Amino acid sequence: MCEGLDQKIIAIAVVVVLLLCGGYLIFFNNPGGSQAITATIQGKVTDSNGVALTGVSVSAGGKTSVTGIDGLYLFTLDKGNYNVEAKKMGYDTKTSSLSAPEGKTYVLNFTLSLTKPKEVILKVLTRHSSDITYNSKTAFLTSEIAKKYNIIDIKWYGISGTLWVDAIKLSNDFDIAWGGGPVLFDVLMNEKLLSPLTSNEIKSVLSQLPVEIGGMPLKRVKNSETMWAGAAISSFGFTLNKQYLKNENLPEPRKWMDLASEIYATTLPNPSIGTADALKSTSNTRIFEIILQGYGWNEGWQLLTRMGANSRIYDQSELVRDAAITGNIGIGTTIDFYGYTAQLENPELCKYILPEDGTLINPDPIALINTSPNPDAAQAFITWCLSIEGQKVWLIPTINRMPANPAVFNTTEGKLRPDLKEIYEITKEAAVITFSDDIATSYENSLMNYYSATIVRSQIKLTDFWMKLSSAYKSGKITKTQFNEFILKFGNPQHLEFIDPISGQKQKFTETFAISINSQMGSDASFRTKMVDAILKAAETQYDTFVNELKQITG
Amino acid sequence: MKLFNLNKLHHELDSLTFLQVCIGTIFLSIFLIAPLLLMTGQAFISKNGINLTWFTDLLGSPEYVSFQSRGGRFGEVYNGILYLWGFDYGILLNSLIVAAIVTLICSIIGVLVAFFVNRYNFFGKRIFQILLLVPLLATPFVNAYVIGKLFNPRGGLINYIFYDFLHILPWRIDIDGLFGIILAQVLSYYPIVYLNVSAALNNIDPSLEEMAENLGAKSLKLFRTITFPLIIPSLAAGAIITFIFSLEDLGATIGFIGARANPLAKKVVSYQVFSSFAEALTGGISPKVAALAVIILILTVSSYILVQKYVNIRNYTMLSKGGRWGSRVSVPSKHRQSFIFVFLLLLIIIASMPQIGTILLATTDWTTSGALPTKITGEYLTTLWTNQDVTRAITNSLVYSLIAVVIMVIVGSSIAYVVAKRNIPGKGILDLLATIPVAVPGITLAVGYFLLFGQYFRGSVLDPLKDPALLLIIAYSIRRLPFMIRSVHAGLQQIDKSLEESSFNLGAGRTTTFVKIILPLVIGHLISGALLGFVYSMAEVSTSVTLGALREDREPITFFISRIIYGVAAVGSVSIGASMCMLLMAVEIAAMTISNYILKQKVSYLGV
Repeated sequence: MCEGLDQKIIAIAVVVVLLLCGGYLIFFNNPGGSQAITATIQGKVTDSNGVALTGVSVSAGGKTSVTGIDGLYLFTLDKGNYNVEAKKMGYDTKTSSLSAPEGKTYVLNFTLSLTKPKEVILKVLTRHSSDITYNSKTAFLTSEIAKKYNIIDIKWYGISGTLWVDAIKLSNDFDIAWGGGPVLFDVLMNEKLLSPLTSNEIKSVLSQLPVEIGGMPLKRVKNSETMWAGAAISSFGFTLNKQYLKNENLPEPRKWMDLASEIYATTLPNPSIGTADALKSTSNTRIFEIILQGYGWNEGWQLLTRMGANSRIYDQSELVRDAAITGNIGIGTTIDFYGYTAQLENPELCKYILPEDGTLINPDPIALINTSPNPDAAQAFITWCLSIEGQKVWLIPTINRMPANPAVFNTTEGKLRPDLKEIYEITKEAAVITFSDDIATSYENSLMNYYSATIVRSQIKLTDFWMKLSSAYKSGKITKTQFNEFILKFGNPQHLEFIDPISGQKQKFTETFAISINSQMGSDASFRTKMVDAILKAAETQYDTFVNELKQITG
Repeated sequence: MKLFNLNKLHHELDSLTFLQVCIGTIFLSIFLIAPLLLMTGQAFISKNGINLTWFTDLLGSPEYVSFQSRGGRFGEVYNGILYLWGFDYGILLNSLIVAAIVTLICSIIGVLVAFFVNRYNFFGKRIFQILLLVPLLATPFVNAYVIGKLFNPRGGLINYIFYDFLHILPWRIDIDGLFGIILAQVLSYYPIVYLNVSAALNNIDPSLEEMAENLGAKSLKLFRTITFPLIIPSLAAGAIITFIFSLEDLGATIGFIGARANPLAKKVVSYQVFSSFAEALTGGISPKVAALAVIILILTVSSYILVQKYVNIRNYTMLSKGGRWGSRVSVPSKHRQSFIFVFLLLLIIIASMPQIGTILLATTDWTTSGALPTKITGEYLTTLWTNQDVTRAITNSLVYSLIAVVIMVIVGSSIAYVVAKRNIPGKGILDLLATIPVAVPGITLAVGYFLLFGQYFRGSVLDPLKDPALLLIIAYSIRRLPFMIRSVHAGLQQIDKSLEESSFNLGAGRTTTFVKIILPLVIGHLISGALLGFVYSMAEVSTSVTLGALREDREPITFFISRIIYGVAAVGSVSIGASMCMLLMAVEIAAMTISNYILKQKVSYLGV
């Protein structure tokens, strides 16, 4: 056995050596032959239409001849075997082998074809779901513009938004960023990771978009250059499960304010409302920002706190939508298209509401990343997305987004979705609050973490107090005045003092303070941990105190 | 006494052994020790240098450790709903309490079931023996979703049957929070104890019990004084695995939180570490989370090592060497028989609910239909090969698991051989290192990988931000390595030294002997270990849902399921997740069957 093995190995080794030698002889042996007899090589170089090509350099055996206006070349060589190469910028290089054993003239013609634009695979960072990416890729790759730029594939990178800056810098070859909200794209812009949209095709399609909708500009223009454009628009509101509300005898809410009402505390400890953790959902963070700007800092936080006490707080905004559809909750705070999808999924049950006390209409951007190796091709995709063809993707029944370009409603596909068109018209007329992105981003990290500390992580105590307070009020154990005294303090940052872990001083979470710690809350994990812990401790103590105060009144 | 016998080392350390030791040591150092050390280091660093700030912070804050309840509900009735959630004693204590309760209940159920099945003959025993293992079929995430669907106070099946339909219950019940987690874990982990104790019961020398009987000990006394002490080591081994599994479990937690967003279910360590992983990606991981992971790591590893030592000392179930005895099986009275029958039947029905529910979700419209399904459909199962996202996730997992198995085979057989057959100084450490992954929570490993390879290998193939595939493969192979080693080790122990010696005498070197004599003799164990390693890799949760989340086109099957159950994907796609779980279950059944067939005996499935 063992010897057999050895023999085999030797046999294999011999074969390998023979192959190597043979290869060497075939590929590297110089086909010398006798010297000093010269052969003439000449010919004509034309393009694929038969037109003579000038300026083609033809070379063999170390000699080169350049074609003239007639496309002809000529040179002499020692007799022998040669590889003759014809080369011109913008054309594919061609090589022919020529055997010239005698000292006579050999004719060798070339036909060069234009170099095709190289095949492009676009790398796109996206927050869009696979429904959107799949449908837009399929439609785009068969489009004329994709063929023109020879784009053969799109690779999607569904990386979490917080990682985009790192991912772009690290990978250094992303072409496009698509979806994820204006805040994220402003971050990319401020980090100088975006290139302006400059191609003529883009400029023409950009001019077809409305300038603004609901008071929000659809494009971000900086130094008179377009840095990103909204490919879709969205609003924020809530999705109702009408059956649930009916079963529990709860009214349909019309305003954000309603969600903070003690009426919805009657089902506790089983919450009727669903919302998502600010730390984990950008769309719900936006909703909280709308409420804070609409109602002002202190009143906004009071509202958010009571709403949090009334809520199941999910980890993702999609879960809020699903819970509303399945009837785990009666009301879910959602971005508009989750509402439309729910509505479409179950029309008798679900309904999307645009709050009467104000929403915000947001463009959902697309942008060119400055690391793009193929900026022309990348802009071609962006052009397509903003064009009527690309906008049709939003109308697909599983997607249900508001297009940025309303002209799409005039197409055959658009006429099939009168429901979406109707919502588009309603959205245009929606009550919109004056909203500043700059203000929102100036305290966003602080907001998310304060929300986490006072509402999410302390929710057991929070809900417990709110349940006791509202049931005491409902059963008449406390008067309306007493109830309102609690409401005034509950969730009001003016009434919550905590020990600032850095200065050791008593501190209140004012808007100014939130802005001052915002960047450190984002970047410094130790700082954030200490700050959140301090606020959490104060909040939990406060909720316990409230419970005791309430007990003293009710006995 | 010489500490280090160079001559002996020289004698033992021939080139093959050297290679094997190198493979084992290098692999474990880079992919197990280094990341864990780095993470541990992180937890000791604060603004003021190296200290215990984060640990004292953590242990001193009531959010993590509280000796009085911080809220929660158990047994309270509001608006006609009975709330069974449990109480909050702080994140760290909650986890320990949950794990302890789960371990205790699993131990009781496991011992009872093992005793019934191995000592009594009763109607339907054979079928019960198989059905009792059903909970081992992993249905990650879907199991908790099913439980959520069963116990939802509105429209949940249990409430529908017992409250709305039969009117047996005076209230609807809302099982959620820590109590829900305990329930879900007990139902999936009791077979671990059951299998371990069964193996021990089979191995008890019957003469011991016979002697006791001759001396007058009967039934309970016999069990209490003879049988039970003899199965304690196996029980301990099964219990510690249950304890560790419970501590690191994400499936039940995430499932409950995803479906019901209960604030109490969020108060466990595994979820906290998991949930701060997203934060870790931006502002760096919170050192407090690293400290939390370190505390859990210390707890699991030390208790594991202690139990292992204890088991080794106390393993006297087989007094005499030799084959198996005919087991001491009796036919109990009709009364007892029916009790056993009903007990096992109820247990199996309740414990298999996640699996039954998974099949229902995959094959009917149960996701959207309310309490009961209304029609059978094949549309979800077909997505397994028609939906490109689904097929991509399946392919990814298949590829990762296959490569992981190859690594497991190479590293595992190397380490097992060195440990079982060679006498290298320090081989005990190698053995310990190779078995410790059992006790390392997956999320801990994931955090360690993220810190080490995300920071110091930026842009390389090992950078999880660039491409998590390779790290996933390695994580799988490390996490499932102990099972491989145990399997091969068991095989190696059965090979008599004389076989090797004869080979040497006939002039074969160590390499030839290893390849031609040893490997063929343990090939069955190798294949069986590989099969189980493959199955476990396919169903691996913790690192899959953390590292696997970093790039969509690299996501493994379990992360895809979690995405569906946990949101993100389109409505109604829970059924697609259930279909994937059905696929996992099929793979698991196939692997177990093949492995049992090859080894011609029940595999001691899990243990120390």
